Amino acid sequence: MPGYRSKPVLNNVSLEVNPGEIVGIIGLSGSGKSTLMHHFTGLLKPDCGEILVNSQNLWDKNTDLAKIRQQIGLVFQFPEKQLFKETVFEDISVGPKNLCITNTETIARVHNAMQSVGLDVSKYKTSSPLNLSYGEKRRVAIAGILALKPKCLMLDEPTAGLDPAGIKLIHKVISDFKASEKTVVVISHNIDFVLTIATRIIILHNGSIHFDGQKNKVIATPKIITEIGFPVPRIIELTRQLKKAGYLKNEEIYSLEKIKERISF
Amino acid sequence: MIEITDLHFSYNMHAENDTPILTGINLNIQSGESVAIMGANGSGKTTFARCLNGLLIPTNGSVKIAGLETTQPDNLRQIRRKIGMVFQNPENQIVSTTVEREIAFGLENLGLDYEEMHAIVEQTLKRFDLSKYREHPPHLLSGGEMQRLAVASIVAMSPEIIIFDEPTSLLDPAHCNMIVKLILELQQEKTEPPLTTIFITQFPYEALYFNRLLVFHQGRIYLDGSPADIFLKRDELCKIGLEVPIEFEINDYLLKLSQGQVSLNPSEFLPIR
Repeated sequence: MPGYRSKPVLNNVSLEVNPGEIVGIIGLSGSGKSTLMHHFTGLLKPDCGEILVNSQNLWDKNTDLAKIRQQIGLVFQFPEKQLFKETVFEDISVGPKNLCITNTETIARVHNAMQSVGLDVSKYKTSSPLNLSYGEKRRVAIAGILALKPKCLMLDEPTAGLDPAGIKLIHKVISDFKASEKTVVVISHNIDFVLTIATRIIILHNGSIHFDGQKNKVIATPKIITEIGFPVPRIIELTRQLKKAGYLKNEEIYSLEKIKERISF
Repeated sequence: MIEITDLHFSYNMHAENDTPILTGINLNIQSGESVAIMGANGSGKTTFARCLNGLLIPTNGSVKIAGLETTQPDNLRQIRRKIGMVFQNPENQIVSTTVEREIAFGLENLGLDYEEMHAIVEQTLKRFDLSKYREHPPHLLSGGEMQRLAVASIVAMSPEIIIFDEPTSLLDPAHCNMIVKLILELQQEKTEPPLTTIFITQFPYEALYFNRLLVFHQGRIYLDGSPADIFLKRDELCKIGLEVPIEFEINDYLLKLSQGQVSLNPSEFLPIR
């Protein structure tokens, strides 16, 4: 529970994330989401309590933090601010190079990473990252993390400022990760996005866990979200109205695609 | 209030492979209008905003704010006093050591006396739900809180025009609503001249709160009209990579599925103004 001044940002948080889970963390701004995520890779040290990654205590003297960080790819808020190399290729290869990976392997990883985020290799390889558009920069930044081949991906507000095409891409990156049985933890205010992608939802409120469970439960009981001051998610409100009008049967639905599949009149 | 004629802008106009960002914008915005701007990433929204307050000077065409051309360096001081700008990334504009001082910073530069400044700072802290952070260093705030502070410190200066460049991208839904409602509230206040707001967003639903919506595509204005009318043209927006609010999406889907027989009532989706 670290605190800036006297007020702790996190308080009595206990949770476990298992391989293959897609966990969505939501909560009001300032509720401690980013602070919590920074603890997962040892960027912040808890005042008390412990963090275990693969049963290794992060703050144990014998723990090799660098090694653990290689397994957890952390994508910060506005990751594009971290781009600094002259070309897209160089920027994405910084990570693999620091891991002392061979040149051939690095090239292969950069190409793969670029393809996963939908960047055409021949078109963008030599472009300066600074001349790219907002959405393109975000892709380069995420490719830089994917090139590290992490076992677990953590994303902090990955859709902020992105247009629908960009959001679809983030969706794809996460789904690809899911397909390979890897773990994803994602912080997002875009509740519709979280409800579509995550399997499990954690709601933080004033630094404590307000809810931790399957997303179906949140959809069935929107009160879980509204009681901490969130408005009812619009997708839930919309389904409610469609049911009332008789266009939808009484079942829990949480995505536009599902509504379209089930709607009838 | 804002008159734009044939606005063109490129970042490297002399380079060989230059791609112009703005390619011919003609637009008039009257005093008191509330305007939302949408567009895919790279469509020129932010560049356009920066042309308005003279941070960028048109490569061609002209931008006039209350009759003042941005190409005249002598006008810039006056123009920037009229226009407040909330940047996309709050860290780019926050300079002070505490939240309170950040709000006072602009007011101090305007030369307000102590009593008045104090009153405005108090009111602003309260309005933006930041009172409890008054002595907090801004860099220790969360992303969303910082974004609220960025908006607060501009609003405190009571400019005639406020440009918001995606001020809600890092906010939770509750605070998104708060910011949008606050903007509407400010708009209702009787000031002379009435407040003009320009609000850039990626969230189509937020645009519904504004009277007018401009849709940008490849550096031009692709659609200009009332948000609800524009959102009824779902296919036209999809063509340029944008989406309509989910309520309009389902309405459109129902209409197509039933060949025009069944639809939801779009006016019911409109948020309370």
